[in-house]
Amino acid sequence: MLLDLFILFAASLAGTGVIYLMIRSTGRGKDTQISDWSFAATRFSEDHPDLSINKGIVSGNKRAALLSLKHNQEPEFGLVTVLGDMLVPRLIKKDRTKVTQVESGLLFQLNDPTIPKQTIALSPNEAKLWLNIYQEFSEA
Amino acid sequence: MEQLTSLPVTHLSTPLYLIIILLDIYLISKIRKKVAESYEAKDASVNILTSVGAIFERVLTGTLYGAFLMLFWDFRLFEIEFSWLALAICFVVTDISYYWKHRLEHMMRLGWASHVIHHSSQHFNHTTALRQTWTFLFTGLIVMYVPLVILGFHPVMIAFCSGLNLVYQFFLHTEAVRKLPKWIEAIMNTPSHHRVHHGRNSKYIDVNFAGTFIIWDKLFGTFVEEDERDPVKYGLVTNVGTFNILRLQFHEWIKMFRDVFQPGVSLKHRLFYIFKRPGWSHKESEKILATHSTPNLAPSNDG
Repeated sequence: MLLDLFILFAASLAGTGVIYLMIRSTGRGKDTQISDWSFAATRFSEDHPDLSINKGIVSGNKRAALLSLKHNQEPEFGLVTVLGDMLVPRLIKKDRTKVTQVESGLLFQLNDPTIPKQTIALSPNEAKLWLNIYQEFSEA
Repeated sequence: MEQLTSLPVTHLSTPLYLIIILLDIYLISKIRKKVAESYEAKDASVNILTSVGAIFERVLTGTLYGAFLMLFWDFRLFEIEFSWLALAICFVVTDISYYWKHRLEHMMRLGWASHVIHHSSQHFNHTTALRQTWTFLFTGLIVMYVPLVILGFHPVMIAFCSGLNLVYQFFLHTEAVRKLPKWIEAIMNTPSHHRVHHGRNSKYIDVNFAGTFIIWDKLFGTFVEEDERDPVKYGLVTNVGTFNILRLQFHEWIKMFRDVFQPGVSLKHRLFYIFKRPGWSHKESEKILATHSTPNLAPSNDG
């Protein structure tokens, strides 16, 4: 029984490796990139059609975008991150999010087990500008 | 017959699954672009690794499930001998139990905490079928099979039929098959019906809970036909932003326990956080917010 399980475990690991490599070899294993913030905004609007998007910024590594939003004249904030070839949008809840400026940009820590902490790679000036926008939102 | 039914069908099918996935990636994907797009390397790998964990979980808990069901064996109403006819009937009634178990996994937070992982991919292919929970034990939904034991079906026969049911469902997770002949679509659960079940489009939420026969959804008012004008978008209303298997397995449990143990909530409301629909909140304001952020709150065909 234990031997059977060991064989099954080993075969599954090997199978996972083979399938991973096969998908990569057919050119379908590359992560998507957020070319500009409107691309992220389109995906965000799919989940939140009631929110209007003012502007956005894309992380230097093109793996995340920040969006400044409005809902019934109230400021809101959105985060869109890359997950493989898909995008994952998230509406930021101000009481559950900690944003700090770090050397490489802005660090977002959402008190949400479905989203790990995200560093948005930005130049110091961009990071400062967006931190200000975020602080205006979180204090509103 | 007894020897046949004691076979662990889901485990024995694993090599078949791997072969079909490989064929799907290489052969069918060359013919149909949509199938090609349905695979993503990390997503597929996570799905298969999750299934390895699920196999170990089933091995560890299988004895417990068997022992639990055997508690009711002495109270059976009929003596049903092992036979092909009994097996066929058992398969059908197991499928009814599966329907209700699956429906509760969507309609009750406790069930959803365990089942959510199966819906957490934004892709839909054969590997999605393998993205299985490790925490089914804690839902207590094994009780859905107790009536079958009381009817007189032996737990071993029920386990065998449940295994066959799961193997059948593996083949439903594909975009390679659009529609099957009308009579099959009318009776059986098909890839088309199951794509709808995995959709996050508002009209596709909390429908098509069937395992093998779609007739239960039609009977209990939870059937929705795939609409080509509204292509299925897969995943959750609020998708998970990680490939971390532990986060995928446990994120809804964490959120549920946070809700249950938050300060200033009555015992009744704490229980509601476990047994009511996912997204339920004792705060009116959050009830509205939850419709944006949680699956299973959009208008459903819940009969």
